[in-house]
Amino acid sequence: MARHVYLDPGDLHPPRRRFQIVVAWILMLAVLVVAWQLAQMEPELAPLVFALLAALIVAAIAAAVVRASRSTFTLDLQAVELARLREDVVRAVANARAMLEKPLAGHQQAMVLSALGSCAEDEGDFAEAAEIFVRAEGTLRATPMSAMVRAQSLTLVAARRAFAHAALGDLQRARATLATTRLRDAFPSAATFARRAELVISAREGAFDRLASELRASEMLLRNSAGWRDRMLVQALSRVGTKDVLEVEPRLREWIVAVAGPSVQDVVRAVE
Amino acid sequence: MKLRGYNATIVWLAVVGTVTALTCVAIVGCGLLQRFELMVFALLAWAITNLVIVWAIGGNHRKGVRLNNDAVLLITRGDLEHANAKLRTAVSGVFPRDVVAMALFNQGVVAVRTRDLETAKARFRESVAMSGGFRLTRARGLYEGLSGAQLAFSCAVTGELDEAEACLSRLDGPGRASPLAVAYAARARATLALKRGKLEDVVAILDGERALLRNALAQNDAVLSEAMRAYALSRLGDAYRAAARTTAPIYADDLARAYVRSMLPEVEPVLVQQ
Repeated sequence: MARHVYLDPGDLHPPRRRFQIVVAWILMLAVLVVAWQLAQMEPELAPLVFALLAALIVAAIAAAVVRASRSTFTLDLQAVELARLREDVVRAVANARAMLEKPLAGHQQAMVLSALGSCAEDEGDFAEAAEIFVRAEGTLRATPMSAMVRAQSLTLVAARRAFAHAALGDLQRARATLATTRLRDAFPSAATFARRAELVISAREGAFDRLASELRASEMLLRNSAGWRDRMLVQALSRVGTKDVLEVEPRLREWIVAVAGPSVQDVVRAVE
Repeated sequence: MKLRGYNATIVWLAVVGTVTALTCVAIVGCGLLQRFELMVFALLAWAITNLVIVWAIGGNHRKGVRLNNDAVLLITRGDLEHANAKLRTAVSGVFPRDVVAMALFNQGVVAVRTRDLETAKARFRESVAMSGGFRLTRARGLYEGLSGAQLAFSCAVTGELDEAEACLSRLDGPGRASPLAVAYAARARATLALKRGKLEDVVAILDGERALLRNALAQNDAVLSEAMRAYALSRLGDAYRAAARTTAPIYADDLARAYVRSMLPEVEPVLVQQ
């Protein structure tokens, strides 16, 4: 049973961008045809018509840019992420779902979904997290956007999705998903999330030699870029097979065991 | 070094506007209106020119972002020399202002890692300046917030407390609320309070953002924050500690210990060897 309702099917609306592009092109062609017809009927008015047309196009582009720059999307998304990192998941989920009510472009919708998936991941609701990341990936692949934005977002979402699959024990799917995280324009943090998923896969497969070598290879990357929760997970994984015990808060122990499986049960102890 | 960041949106608008105006002048002035196929040709040329402009500006932006991404990956892997080489290319080239601001911020991070706080402050100041001004972008002030918070921290560490305070006072505003900037700002406020001997403020600030600090900061910075809190509690005495807060041992590896020693040597004794 999930701790929160992260996403209701009714929360998702078709991304607005595709519809807008089609309408804008139709409008522009209609205006051009009308202007040309006018120019044919009244040749002396042609310069005026085309001057007006040019001004209209430039003004429309400028208005679109100014409107986009005034969007509160980034601020709203930062507020969601801030609430999540402050461990106020209820607020983060509520804010993210409220964002989905607004008309969003495809990559924006995927970013909000990714934030919701991260909330589910933090709460240990990995099935919900995986499902939300699948939706985010679907949106990213189906919506027109710049190649760089697509690559950046896809790698981040895929690396997190691989981790959720690995935590659910679906290791084959996790491995297959990891293969899609090596795009040229990936965000640097995607590498951290991908390494984290690899470590969990190795731990769950019981491949402890491989786990040890992966831990050695990614030690610096993880210590310099992973957050506290992931660093604790890595510390627990590095203690597998030793008598060294890691002491953590009860909820974190629950999360680490849910992620890495029975192999870490004896090396993580809950302390208040 | 002269920084040559340009405002990509303004440049794009200006070029598209000029091309559109020239196309209209050509259509009207050359009498293309009487020949439909010639007018269509002119409009096609207009569309293709605009696509080329978008492609050129976008490609330049992508190149700058790639340099930054590669550098950040190298920084996280500890290869600071190669990271700096990539960042120098981004800073010395002609790229959009956000890209240059990002590179300057990352250069500041490298300088902090190498304990060169004077260079760090210079890079963070440049990054703040590069991020500011009139902008038409969705993520306004992103690097202004990050660099401003890091500048405040660096100033507090080197004893320039008034400048640290001034930097922190500029951080409240829309667009500067990225979680990492908020975390850096909280740490800078705590450092400033520590340097001013306001130990209760140190504990209050760090307790107020404890979850954010541990989740948002990487190991060195998270250890430094915990060490500041433990140090302040230890100086405040047993009565305050028992009544207000407890503190667990703060484990630090060699790298984190060296970082804490270089930033705030007075708090190092509270660390426990990992």
